[in-house]
Amino acid sequence: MSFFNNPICTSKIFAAFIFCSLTITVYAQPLTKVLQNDSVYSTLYGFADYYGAGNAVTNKFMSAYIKNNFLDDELKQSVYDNLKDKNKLAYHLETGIGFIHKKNKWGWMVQFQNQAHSASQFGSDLFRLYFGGNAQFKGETANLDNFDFNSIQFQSLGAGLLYHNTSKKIDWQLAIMPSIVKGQTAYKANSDGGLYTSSLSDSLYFDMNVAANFSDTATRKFSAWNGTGMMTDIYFRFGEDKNWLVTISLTNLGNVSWNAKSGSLLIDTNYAYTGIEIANILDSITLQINGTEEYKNSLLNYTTDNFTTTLPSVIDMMVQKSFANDNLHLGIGFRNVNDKVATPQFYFTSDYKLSSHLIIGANLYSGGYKPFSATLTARLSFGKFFIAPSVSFLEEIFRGNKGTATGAGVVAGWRF
Amino acid sequence: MIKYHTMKKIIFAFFISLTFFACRKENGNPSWETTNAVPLLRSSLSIDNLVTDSLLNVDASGAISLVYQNHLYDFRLDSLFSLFDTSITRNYKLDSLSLFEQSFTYPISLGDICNKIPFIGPLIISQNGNTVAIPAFPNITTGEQAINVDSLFQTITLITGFMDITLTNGLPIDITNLTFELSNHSNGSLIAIDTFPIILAGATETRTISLAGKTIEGEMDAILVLSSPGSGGNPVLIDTSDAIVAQLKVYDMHPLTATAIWPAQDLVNKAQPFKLKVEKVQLTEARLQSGYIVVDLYSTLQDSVRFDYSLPLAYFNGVPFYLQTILPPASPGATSYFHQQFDFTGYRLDLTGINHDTVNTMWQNIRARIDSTGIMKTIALTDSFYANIGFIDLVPEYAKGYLGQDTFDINPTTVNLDIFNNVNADVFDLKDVKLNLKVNNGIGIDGRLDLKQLTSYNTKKNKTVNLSGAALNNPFLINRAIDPNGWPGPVTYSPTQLSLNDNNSNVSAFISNLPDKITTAATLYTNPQGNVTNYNDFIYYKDGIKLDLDFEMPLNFMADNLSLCDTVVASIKKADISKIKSAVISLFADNGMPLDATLSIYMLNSNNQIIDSLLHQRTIAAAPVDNMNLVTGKKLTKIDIAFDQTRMNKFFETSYFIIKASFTTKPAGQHVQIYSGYTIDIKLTTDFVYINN
Repeated sequence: MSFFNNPICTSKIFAAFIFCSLTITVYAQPLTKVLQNDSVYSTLYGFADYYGAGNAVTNKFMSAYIKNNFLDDELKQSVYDNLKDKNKLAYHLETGIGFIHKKNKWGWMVQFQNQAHSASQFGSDLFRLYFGGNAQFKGETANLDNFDFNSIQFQSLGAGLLYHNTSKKIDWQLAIMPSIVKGQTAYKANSDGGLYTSSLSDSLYFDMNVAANFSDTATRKFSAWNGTGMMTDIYFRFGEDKNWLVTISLTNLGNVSWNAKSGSLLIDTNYAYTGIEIANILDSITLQINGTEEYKNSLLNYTTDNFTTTLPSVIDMMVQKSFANDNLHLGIGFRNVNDKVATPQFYFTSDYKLSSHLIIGANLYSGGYKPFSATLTARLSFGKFFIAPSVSFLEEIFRGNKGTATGAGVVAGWRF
Repeated sequence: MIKYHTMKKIIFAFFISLTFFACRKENGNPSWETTNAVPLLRSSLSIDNLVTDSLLNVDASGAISLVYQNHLYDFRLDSLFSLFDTSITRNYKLDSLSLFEQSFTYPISLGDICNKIPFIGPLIISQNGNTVAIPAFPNITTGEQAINVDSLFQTITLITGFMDITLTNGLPIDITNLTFELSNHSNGSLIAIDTFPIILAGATETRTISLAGKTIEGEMDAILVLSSPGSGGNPVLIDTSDAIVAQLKVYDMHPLTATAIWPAQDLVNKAQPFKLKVEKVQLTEARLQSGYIVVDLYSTLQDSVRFDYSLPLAYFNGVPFYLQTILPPASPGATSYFHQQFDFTGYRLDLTGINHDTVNTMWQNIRARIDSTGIMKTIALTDSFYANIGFIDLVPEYAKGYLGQDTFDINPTTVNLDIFNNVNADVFDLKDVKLNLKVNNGIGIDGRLDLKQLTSYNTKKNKTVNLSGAALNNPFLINRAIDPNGWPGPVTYSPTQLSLNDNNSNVSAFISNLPDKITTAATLYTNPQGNVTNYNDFIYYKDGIKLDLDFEMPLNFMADNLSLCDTVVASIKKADISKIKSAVISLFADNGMPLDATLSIYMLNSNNQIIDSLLHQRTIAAAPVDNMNLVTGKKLTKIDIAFDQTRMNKFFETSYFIIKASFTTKPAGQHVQIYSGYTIDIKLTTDFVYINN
């Protein structure tokens, strides 16, 4: 019997573990939530997760930006206060449906999944320059180093096998699901540079080195097939019933090769601008206000060619211990997202079974894209139907404008 | 400002937007303000920017002098003389007419004569072939013998002409008292009559008869009356075919009129001089840069007339002008007509006449002739030709000869002086100005110029200064130009210069007046010594006598509010400035001149109306100087110009800027020298608030 289905809960325990959760986290692996310990079952499931995280950009700022509002000085200042040398901002969205069927030890599964993932790193001056202008840098150089950005959106269709060994005290399950990947869009870029503004504003010196790749920009819709790849999801868990459980998952192991219409951009330039030089200011004055074109040629080296990106694979390892007659689960875990920006994340997880229909939980995280974040989770079961929503908003309450942590997710299934 | 913004948009918007775009709503954009600092322009103003249309002279020390040249007056060929339109009209009567020489004979046989002698005549005839004596017979007439030559002429009325009557006595007896009578058949009018007293047997006698005033018709009658002493009793061989042969020859006929078959002959052949109409000058040669000759011919002749016209002294590439044409026959009582115009450009006219001993003289040959056609036509001496030869719009490119001794008054002529157009001053005092009046003579004549007036006008201040001084009291002589190679030149100009300075005139005051107009009046005398070159004066159309003024003005001056005002055309491409909320443009002026400069800049719309000002009476401080009034460094002045949206809109509506600058030399009340290294470095920068979205 799965610990998901253990009964019993109390209001005290609910209060005590309000910040804890079971392993249903934002950016979770949906298959782990639908795997059962039963010998025979079939489950049709769907899921949708969204997660945004950053260590400098605040929720209010992100909210105003997303809502296309005016970003006033107060909003910008709230971000300025958080800016460090390296700042992170990430975003992940995944949706999908799947079906799993198990009979005795063996089972099989199919799953269609849509994922969008972006992660960026930027320096303090870059943000200040973009949202505040260069006047604040008179007599200084705005440091534009260490910008890194990766974004990908892809769809996958996978089919896999499940093996569940229940013959010993320690039972274990292993599921492997390879998928074919349709690449929709991809962007990746990194840059270094600086912009010097003289104290009299009479000269600018701009130095920039940029390398960027992006998929065919002509077609970016959901139906676009700009790249092809393979990936594999591996789920493994073992444990002693009603005592402890170890879960290991490896997801999105693979890469995508983007087609030859993809773009490659190299910028290696420095540019000094001291104003338009006029030989005789008393002669006729001609001001050309539109000078965009002359820069395109001098700054950009644009080619088209295919390129390959590694999918944002995730390794997640968690150890849980059951308490209170298997109604309370506490665990710790480690997760790492392979996207160059994220740092290893450690987390504490908890859940409590309030009734046979409801499990609630809370998770606390450290690492990833920000030092601290938290989520609330729940799982509701009504006969053959279950649904597990999750939200992430607590940081705003407890830490104020210290970063971004917004997210929501849901996994729902129908068990036959 | 915009370039910087463009740069930002390309680089930062791309990457930052990458970070954020996935999160945004699809419709609309977030917005925020950025404050940007951008250089706009930079320039360096030196004295050559401030004083335009000038040539700056820099000496070894770097001291600047302003050299300026202005043209005052031109004396050219058309001022000296013109070739007037010349027309030669001639009515040509026929010089003479001549006809073919005509000759015809007719015999009167012994038989014909014997038939006219009663009794004896038949007897003689009966002895034909015998030898018998022929008795004497008196006054035998042959009766009218028809002479018909109407295939040669129908009628001829002669002015002069002659007829030779030749009688050959082929009879065996002498003939005495032979009277020959020729009369027109139509009316019996007598043409000729003559008597031969004796024509010996076998002899020939000729008589010439003048036909002057006679009219001869193609059908005539001839009558012979003759006597004979007979053979004197001596038997002679009787041959009735023996004859007296009469031969009539008409020649040297010059008819008044005739209807005849005419021989080829010249009707008119004239060689005539004529004068080109010019005034005061005596030309021996002219080359034309344009002009026409127009030929009109009329004829009353009822025959085709071949017309040859030539100007043997008018050459184009060495070939004289020659025209040949044929006038068609005129209808009876009417005229035939020919008209044609010929381009005379490039012709050289030798105006010395056919003997090369005169001036202004052309020569023409005119010849009219008829051809022998074999057709009978009526021509009379009263027929005529009318020829009108016109020379029109002749403009010489070059002329040679004696160009005359004349006096030309150069009336007061005012020219604009643009060097000080935009300059004004409360006090302006120059030193050491040098002014040269230059006469540059490109004509091959001597001259003398009496300068009557040279006045500088400052019309803005209504101030006038007349140039005066000892140097102006003496007229100056102008030497003739030299044409070393002859036409087409080039000529060597002969310059003559009158130099004025503070020692011999008030020239510094003249220029310190900051004139915008200069008035000149003078008298020019040409060839005051007369025809000293023996008709070798010359003139080219492109060359003349030029009167120029130039001056050198050391920029060593003292000025109080020396004002420059200029209108500058602004071509500002309209841009969407709705995203620029406000801006402050800063002018950084690093002044390296010993002058305080007070600036005003006004914006004008396309109707030249002031719509706003950028600057009003803002002062850029003078550079520091040492005790020699030499600049020791530069002085930086910053002037801020604030723009809101309204002012920015006006800026983009600006079609012209009026820039007013007034300069006051520092230290006050002292002369300062401007050096070539003195500049005002100008930078414009802006801080502007930009609305991003």
